[in-house]
Amino acid sequence: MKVRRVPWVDEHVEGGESAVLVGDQVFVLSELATTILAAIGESTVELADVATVLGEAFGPPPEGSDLVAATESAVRELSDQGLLTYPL
Amino acid sequence: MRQDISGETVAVHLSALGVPVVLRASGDRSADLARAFESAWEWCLDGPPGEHSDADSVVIEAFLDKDGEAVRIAQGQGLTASTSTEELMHWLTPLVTTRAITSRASSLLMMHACVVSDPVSGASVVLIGPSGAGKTTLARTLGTEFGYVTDECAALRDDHTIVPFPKPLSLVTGDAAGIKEQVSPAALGLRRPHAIPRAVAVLYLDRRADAPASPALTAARNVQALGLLCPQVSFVGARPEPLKRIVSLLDACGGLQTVSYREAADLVEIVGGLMEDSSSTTVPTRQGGAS
Repeated sequence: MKVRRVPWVDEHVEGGESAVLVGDQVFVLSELATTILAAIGESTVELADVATVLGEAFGPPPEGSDLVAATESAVRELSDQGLLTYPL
Repeated sequence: MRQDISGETVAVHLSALGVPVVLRASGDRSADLARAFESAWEWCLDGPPGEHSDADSVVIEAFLDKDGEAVRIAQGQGLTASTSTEELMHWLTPLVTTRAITSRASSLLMMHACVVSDPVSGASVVLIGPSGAGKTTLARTLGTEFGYVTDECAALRDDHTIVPFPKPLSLVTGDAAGIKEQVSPAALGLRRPHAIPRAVAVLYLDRRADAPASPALTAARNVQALGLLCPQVSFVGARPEPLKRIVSLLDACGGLQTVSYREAADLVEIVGGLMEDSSSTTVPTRQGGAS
């Protein structure tokens, strides 16, 4: 399944974290969320590709959890907040 | 500046955030309304000219009359109308402010803030906070020590100079209907700045009863600062790259600091110190005098 970002007005990345303005609402994002948004960029991206980027950036997920499943959980959270459109 | 248009309608001209505003007062007490408006908005009558053309003028129609039925008819016609000067003035202040802010949405960075400045150097401290954070109380207290720039809207150009907006202060009077008295800064003994205000420090207000007796400043990272400040920016998405503009301001001012405090008077020393710090770090420039 694929994911893409919703249109944003502006973003500021500093120290791995970011602030993103969507409409008139600002989101302050963690390093993990910032990395997910950067991996997606302005394209429509396969979830598995996002997972690969997260694996490279943060290493494998904790023992017993799956990288793609953990990525999907994070992506769904960002989608619920209105930052991503998922699934496509 | 007042101008009689007819026997009953009186126009008062002022500048709010650089926007020409015309109040057209009508009704059998139009002269009383014009007089009260002129007095409360005294420091905006000769505001900064030239930033807007006449085409951008804001016209506000207001109606003051002894006859309640006449007032009801005027309200039905869309006029801001009342039998009470105090009530009308209470409504007009946010109306003028909102119309001026809307008019400048595409040209200025505007934040809910009290601003005071060094009357001579123009070094200004921007104190940002939502409604109820104590901005008007701060303006009333700090404005007697420093120059009063605004108690409502910090309007910043991209070079971090500030368009003054010395509107009347809205003071709680204990009126049961919640009507606030609109008082001119001059009547409260506030000081008028004589230099162009320029932001040198940005504080986020955190007023609470359990704050330290001596106000505490806490630096915020820019990303966190954007989370605090964006909700306080008017029409935040109206201009390109709003976050970058805010970060540019913060970088020029040493970043955002949250200030936890109890009483407005507790901030006098801190605010004065921030103005002094900016002047001590400014490299003096020499003018003229060919060698």
